[in-house]
Amino acid sequence: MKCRLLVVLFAAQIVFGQAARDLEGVWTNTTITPLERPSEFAGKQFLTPEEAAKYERETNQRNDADNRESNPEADVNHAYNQFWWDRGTKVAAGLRTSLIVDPPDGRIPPLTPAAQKRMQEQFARAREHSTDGPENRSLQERCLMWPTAGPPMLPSFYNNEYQIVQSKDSVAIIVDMIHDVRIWTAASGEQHPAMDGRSTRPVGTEHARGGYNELH
Amino acid sequence: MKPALAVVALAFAASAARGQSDLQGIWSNATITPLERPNDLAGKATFTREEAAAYEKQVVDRNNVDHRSKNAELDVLYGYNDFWWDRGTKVVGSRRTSLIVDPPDGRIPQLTPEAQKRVQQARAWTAEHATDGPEGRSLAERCILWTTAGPPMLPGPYNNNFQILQTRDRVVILSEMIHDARVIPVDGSPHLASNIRQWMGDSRGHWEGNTLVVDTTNFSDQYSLRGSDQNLHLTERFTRLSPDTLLYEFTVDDPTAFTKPWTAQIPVTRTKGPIFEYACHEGNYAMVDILAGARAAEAKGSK
Repeated sequence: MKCRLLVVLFAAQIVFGQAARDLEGVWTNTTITPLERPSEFAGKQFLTPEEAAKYERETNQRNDADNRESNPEADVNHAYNQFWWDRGTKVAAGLRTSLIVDPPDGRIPPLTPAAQKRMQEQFARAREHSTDGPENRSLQERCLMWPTAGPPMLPSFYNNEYQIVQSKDSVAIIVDMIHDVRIWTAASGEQHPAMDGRSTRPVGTEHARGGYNELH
Repeated sequence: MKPALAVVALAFAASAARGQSDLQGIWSNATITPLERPNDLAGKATFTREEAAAYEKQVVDRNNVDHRSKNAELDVLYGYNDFWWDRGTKVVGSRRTSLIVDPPDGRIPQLTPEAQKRVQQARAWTAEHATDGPEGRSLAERCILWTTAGPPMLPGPYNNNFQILQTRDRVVILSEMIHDARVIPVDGSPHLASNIRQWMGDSRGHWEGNTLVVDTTNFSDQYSLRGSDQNLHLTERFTRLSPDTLLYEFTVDDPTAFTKPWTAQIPVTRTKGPIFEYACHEGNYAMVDILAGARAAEAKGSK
């Protein structure tokens, strides 16, 4: 290769080198594809285009909060009208029947016996003490975390947007829901803070390593 | 031009074309220099070295909450011991007696008569309705905004750290206090429409030489910086002075609230991270206790 061509290629890499892994922008993960595969689609990984259209029509009809109830009390309980919801109207590209791709059944694997026991104890305690004090309310009621805001970020009924700002060394993700930000330190070799119980955080701590097209 | 030289020149040209200096890092604005000049220092813009040392000794001693009181009740009211405070121990390097550099008296200018009336009415309402419901409490108690978290960012009793992340078109400022982040477009885009109001306003940045200038407007009328109203126009300036120092300046211009603009300068120093998460509502018993106490008092007919 000629020296001059090498120079041009090297210069282009300096000036435009970040383009290959540019994640910046405002993004939405809105979709009506559920996290777990509904039982009606058991054994079916993908919808046909016709099935997808039917699923979208039925789901959007069911989600439409402007459907008036004959019972005024139930009607009032809808709280928000449709204007305020933003669940999306389309299944995800690829027409998968679940966002979970592994295991192949599209379902969250069963909890271990120890985790089942822990969950049962928590449920029992929450039922018994749900109004004792603020710490008995859910994290989202306390504005500490929202289960879809991440990590990991999941589609939900509104505020499904997030913004990524990416510099040479760091990546920030600002989530619309609850307005939290995560800043990753990318490929710095820094270690996570010690897991000593004092430095753990509700949304954890992030250190990224970037390939050309993905962050881990 | 030699090929190797051409590469270097092209790389520099790309950087210069962006016209940006590197502001990235984790920074602290902790200082014991007050925003406004104390009355006992009226007319004195800067300390001598000896005066600065004496002031630091006096203030650090006064701030030390590990001094035990003879009154046990008062002692308990200290709440945190000194481990938890992080007010800083030094005055700013310029030894100025206030962070406000303009007006020259180092004080926030007088409010306009209309603003004085508004502030008095707000105080009267709060005094009457302070425990009616959460809306009667301050924005800080409600974990909506903290007065020092910014904009503008001011030294406070703790959590005086912020992180800057910078790209060609955006600057992100994450304040440790309350854990809010501003994503500031630096791409020439205009402010939001004036009918869209936000707690932290709408910030837009541009570069003037090596200084990042951030204009913030569109504040909510429920936010007030020392008496400001929804017409607050805040201009912040960030200049990298050295590898470990930023100069942070801000000007408050709100003609319907203040009789003239005012400007402060705060030197900001690099600090080691990471910034840990601040979960404002976690362990926030005060709000519930205040309101529950008021309801209990009402039930006893002893408001």
